[in-house]
Amino acid sequence: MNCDDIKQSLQPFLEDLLAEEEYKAFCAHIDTCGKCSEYVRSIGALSNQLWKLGKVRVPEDLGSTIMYKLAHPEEKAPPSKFVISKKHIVIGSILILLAAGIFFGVSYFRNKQYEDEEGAPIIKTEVIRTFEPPNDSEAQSLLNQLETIAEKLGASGKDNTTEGETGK
Amino acid sequence: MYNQNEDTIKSLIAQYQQRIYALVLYLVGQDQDRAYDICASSFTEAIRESSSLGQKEVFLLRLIGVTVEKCRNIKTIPTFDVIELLEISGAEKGQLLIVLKALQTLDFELKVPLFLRYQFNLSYGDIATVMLVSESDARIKTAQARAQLDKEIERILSNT
Repeated sequence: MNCDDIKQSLQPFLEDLLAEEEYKAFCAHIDTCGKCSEYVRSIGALSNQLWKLGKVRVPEDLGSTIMYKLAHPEEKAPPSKFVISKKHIVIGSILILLAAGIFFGVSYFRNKQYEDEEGAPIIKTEVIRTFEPPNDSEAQSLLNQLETIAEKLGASGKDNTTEGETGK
Repeated sequence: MYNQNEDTIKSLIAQYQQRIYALVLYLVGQDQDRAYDICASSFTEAIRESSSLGQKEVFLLRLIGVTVEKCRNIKTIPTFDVIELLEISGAEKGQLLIVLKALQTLDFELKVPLFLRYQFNLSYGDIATVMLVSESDARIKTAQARAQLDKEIERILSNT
């Protein structure tokens, strides 16, 4: 038996299907050939690893869910905590997105009300207009008004002091 | 039937649930939620359809057949949920994860015979019955799957 024969006979060897003669020849070769010995060991290990992958932790309520489904053919089995988690996450995410959409939508339309046709905020324009400096004629008339008021106040003040002095 | 065979049903579930759950888990891209649902419905269907639950081998083949069909008909999106393997040491877990990664690259039709052969220890005749192919085809598919898995493992190891 040579190295190629080993590759061909490996599967029957692992399944214990080789004839006695073939089995002896197979073992004799892998005892002397390091490369084939390593190959056979690695393939044997793979079968073992595939078997070990079956040792998973099963959800604890799987058995009871099956029994429930069998006993209640028409009803839906009670949702497992394990199963529901992803659905909750999806629904939660959708609700959060909806809430965010509504919030930003409302803020957008609210801001839109205070903007003129060109999109400039109306409030700012009004503030700027309030603080526009008066021109010369307006300033002069304002000064005149102020002087008139001051004169009136002065006159009334004098009257008040006169009255006060008389009272003494 | 349910009331009469409650103990038998419980014993069948206890005996096969781990391997069936693992089979589904690896066939549907490690999606644990989906594996749970498929596993539960496969057991229910197989138990309801079995005329006699006393013949365990017959029931197991029926159960595997139903399970594989359910997995075949769904669109899988690999999620790679963290799978908890029992009785496995840390160093060994690393090797198993490499095998698992390589397994996920195989086609459905190649993954099935591998699991049936090495997790359920089914004969090629039984694998052929489950997969609705001839016995020689079952042998060929298993050998192809094995060769492809070896190649994929080598590729992963050479990249790391």
